[in-house]
Amino acid sequence: MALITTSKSLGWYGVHGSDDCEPMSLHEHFGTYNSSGSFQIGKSGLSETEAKLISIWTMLPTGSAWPWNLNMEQKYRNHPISSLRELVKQHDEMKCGQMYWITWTGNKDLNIPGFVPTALGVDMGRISD
Amino acid sequence: MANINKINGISGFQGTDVSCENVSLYGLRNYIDKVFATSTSGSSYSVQPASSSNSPFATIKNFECGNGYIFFRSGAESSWSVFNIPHFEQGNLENNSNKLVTTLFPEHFTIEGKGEFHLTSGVNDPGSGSKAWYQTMPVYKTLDSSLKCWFNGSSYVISSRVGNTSSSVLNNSFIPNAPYGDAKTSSATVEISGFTGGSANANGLYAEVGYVNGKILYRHAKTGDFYYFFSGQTWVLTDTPITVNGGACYVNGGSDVNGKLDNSGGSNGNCFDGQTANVSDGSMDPRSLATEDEDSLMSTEDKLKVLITEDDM
Repeated sequence: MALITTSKSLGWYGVHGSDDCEPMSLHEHFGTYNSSGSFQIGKSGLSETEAKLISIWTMLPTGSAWPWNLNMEQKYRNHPISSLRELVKQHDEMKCGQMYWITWTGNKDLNIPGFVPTALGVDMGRISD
Repeated sequence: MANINKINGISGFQGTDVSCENVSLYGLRNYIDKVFATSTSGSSYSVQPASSSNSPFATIKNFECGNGYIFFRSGAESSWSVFNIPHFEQGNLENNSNKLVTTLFPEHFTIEGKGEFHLTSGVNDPGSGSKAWYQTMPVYKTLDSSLKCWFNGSSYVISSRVGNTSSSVLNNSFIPNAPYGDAKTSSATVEISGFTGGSANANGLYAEVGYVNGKILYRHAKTGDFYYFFSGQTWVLTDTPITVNGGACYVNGGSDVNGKLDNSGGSNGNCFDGQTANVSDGSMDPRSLATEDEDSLMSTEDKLKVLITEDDM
């Protein structure tokens, strides 16, 4: 697993290893809201207050930057208009073979298995099939 | 290489298992407006306009091997054209799930008597308040944050605080998961021996840092300068991660991880002309299994003979 400790992190999701890469559902891991508007705690165990400190961004294949965070979950996960529900569904998991940048302002460490953080001057690896 | 299509935002990673070289950002200034990368401070992104990346004060001059980037196209959409970034792997493509990172440092490992260490995005040390990478090398910590594993410029160190060597142990290695004295590592290891002369610096312990072609990638523990990996057909020792292309110095081995690296004919690689070496299981010295009277081994990797039977008791 990789521990996200810093407030900014840019990296690749998916590592060659002894196990196959699996996508990670963000709302299942970090939390979401039910149709009544109540926070549903995720597998990470973060409270609503803590989970609100996470934003995980991706660049969509169309070339637009798009965030996942609890505000998106709260506004759109159970929205009565289906096209608005798609706003959160188009990026609600970390997919193998994709780049993500994470903003995290909490004090705990975020555990994201399979995420490889990068930083200028540090040669972390190579992409391979 | 990646052909960048006519979209505004692109994310990606520099370097593949086929090849990697740094690519000048200034040379791509007609296509790229700004590039973002994570600063080693861990608290900000470095932002660099491509048009000024030739400045002495530029923070990003190249797409560097093993780094992640975000960038945006320059000019109006009508002016965009497809262009190529050599050795770049785009990270915002559909159906890209087979493209994974072969890491050059381990994601996690356990050191006997110390605990399990995990890769971090930087130090999070309550004592110093610092959250950053250290010495432009990965930093590791235990889940309870009681121990950190960090590079001091010449060796990885395990101690309670990054930068503080009080009650520390060193492994005299470039990679964090080599043994610390008698404290063993959970990572797979091999020992390469037998190179001579100018090739002797490839001898030594190699430890697991990642996977490629479905098998473990080993890295020279002391210097980090050599890699031992499975090419798909044979095991190969190379000085270039993780390829034999582009003028790499390499020598071929066999189909098994343990065996002979053979360039005695001087024709199956570069730089190791006339050299042979042996690769053995790094967890034990094979000589320790030899009997006093002969060179035969009492045990093999596949089979362990029972030396004492019930009748002997």
